[in-house]
Amino acid sequence: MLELALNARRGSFHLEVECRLASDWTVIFGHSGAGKSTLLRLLAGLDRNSRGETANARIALDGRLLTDSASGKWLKPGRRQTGLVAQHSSLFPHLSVEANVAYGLAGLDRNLRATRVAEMLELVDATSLVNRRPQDLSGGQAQRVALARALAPGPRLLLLDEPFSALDGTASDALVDRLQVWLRANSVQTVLATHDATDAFSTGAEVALLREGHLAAVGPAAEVLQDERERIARRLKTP
Amino acid sequence: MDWQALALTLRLATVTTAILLAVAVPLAALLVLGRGRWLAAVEALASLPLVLPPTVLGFFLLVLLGPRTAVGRCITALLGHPLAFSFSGLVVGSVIYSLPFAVQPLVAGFAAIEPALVDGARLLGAGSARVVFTLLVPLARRSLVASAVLSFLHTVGEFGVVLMLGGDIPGATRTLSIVLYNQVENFDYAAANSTAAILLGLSIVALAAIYLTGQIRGGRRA
Amino acid sequence: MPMHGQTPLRVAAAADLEPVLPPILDQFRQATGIQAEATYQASAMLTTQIMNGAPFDVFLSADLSYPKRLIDARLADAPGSSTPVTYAKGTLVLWSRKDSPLPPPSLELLRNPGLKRLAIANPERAPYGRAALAALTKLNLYDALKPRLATAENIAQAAQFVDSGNADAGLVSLTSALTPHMAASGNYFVIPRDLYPPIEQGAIIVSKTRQRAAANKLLNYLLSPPVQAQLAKSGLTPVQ
Repeated sequence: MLELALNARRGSFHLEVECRLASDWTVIFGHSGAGKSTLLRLLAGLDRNSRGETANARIALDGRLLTDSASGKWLKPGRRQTGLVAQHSSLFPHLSVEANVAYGLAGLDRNLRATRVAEMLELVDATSLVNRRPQDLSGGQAQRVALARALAPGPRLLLLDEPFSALDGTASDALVDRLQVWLRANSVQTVLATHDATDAFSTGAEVALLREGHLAAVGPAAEVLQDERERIARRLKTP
Repeated sequence: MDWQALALTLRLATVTTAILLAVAVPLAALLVLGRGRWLAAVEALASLPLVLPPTVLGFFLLVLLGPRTAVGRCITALLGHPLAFSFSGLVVGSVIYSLPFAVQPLVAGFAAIEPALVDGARLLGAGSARVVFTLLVPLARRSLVASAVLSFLHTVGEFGVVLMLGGDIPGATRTLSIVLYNQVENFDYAAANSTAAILLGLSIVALAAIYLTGQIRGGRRA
Repeated sequence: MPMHGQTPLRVAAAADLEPVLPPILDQFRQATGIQAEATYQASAMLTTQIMNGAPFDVFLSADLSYPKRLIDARLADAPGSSTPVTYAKGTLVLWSRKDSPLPPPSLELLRNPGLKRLAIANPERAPYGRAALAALTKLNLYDALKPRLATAENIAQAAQFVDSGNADAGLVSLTSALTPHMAASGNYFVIPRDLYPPIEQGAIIVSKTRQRAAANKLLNYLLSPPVQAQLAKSGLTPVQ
């Protein structure tokens, strides 16, 4: 369960969100510029104290405070048990796929680390890529490796910022299904930000609708995105 | 050919470069990764030697860090001798004087690295030291080479500071540039030409090193 | 009063004249109306500059060899002579700070094992450095002191090495030891003259000068008895 109360300014952009996300798969839906990335970055603990920005934030994951401006608490990104996969995979270009996935496992001994890496690569169906370099991967492959890397340390919160755009349709569906099963089995709460309504509908999630920095609605996809669904249907009907 | 002076010059440049890299890597990382207005002041200070006349630096080391000041007395007690007229004094002077040449390429190289990569590393639990050594340094290899070579070259060519506090002691402070100066002043132009040729040769070799590493890694973005 | 439109007489002067010459040049101006401006540097450097065309009219060196070099190169001449005109003799002294833990300067100080650093001007090209080297050799102290020498570019820098505490003592010129600052903060000991060849300071007129008359006047002025007496008071022995 993720509780958040955020009030942040980035220049002229104002993000104000207060909600409680109990579902283990939440979709933050919004068009570009709505503030999705800003929201995710704040959840991840990044961008603290950048100039020109003020943030009052209170973020708690399963009852544990990650950020609390009032008391001055702001856990570092590495301490929040939070993983983030963004639109661009941002794999470390000088490391192999294996080394990338193992990056967050520095505390484990060598054998445990190797086992975990293999497990993660299998989860995202990237086992054959283990010795490749990021430059030699396609966009979709890189995204999958990025996912494996983020999940390897065993986070309790997974943040996905439009990560499936690079994956092709059917492969992506299969992956998401497999992923959701694994995440549920490992008690990982997922928040996925997207502007693609099909992602919201297909995963049967709880949806939070973000418009210009504010939460317009929270609820099941069918309700919250009704307008959106009608808009798509209209466009599909047009010859 | 004054082999002793050449050996001394190379030794000075090597020691200075080693110290500078050890100082400049964390400093550049701080300047690029850190936040806070005070960092601008730090960066300005690190660039100060660029515009500092070597005579001012020499004066500073000779007088203000000399045995007549409290600070100078501490240094003399620590080293067993004053900074002036010693190899250690030259090292201190060279490190200060070449600091911007070590720091600036590294700052440029580190700053060119995608912030998303640093974010990613941090999210995976890397502390600042790990970010610097597993991410910034490997990805900014070219800058590291430039930093090292420029520091080395700048020290090889150093003259004003050495003149101010060197005392022209063979084996300790008589560097190649001092030898050249002496030869010119003594009207020994033939010898001066040879010495100048050596200094020029060193510079060309070092610059070629920078460009070669550029070619080998050419095309690969940091 | 300086004559309207006249360029000043440019004098290249050895470093040891810096404490001594300015008041003399002032008097010269008052006596003759000729404005003379001096630049003070090591004699070697001034020689190089004149060789490369620096626009000096008169060169007052700290020795004879440098002006002689210029005469040989046909860049200079001495009035009525083919050798430089000696205008003064330099005196070598040993100087140390009053607050030095070592005993006051004397020949014994040179033998004192507590003397860790002795500053001298560069013996290869500074006249006072040559004298220092000669004196130390004559005293059989050169080998012992060689590792403890700090070689300065000129006596001014040698004095600075001692003044800043980096060297324990220095062999410098009497003229620098008599300057107010040095006189107040240190003591000096005159090195016996028989220990080094005389530091004869020679003057020449640069051949391509456009102010030969004025230059001659200056040299004569320097050699006149009252000015020579003045030089003596400041540490330069008169020629007579």
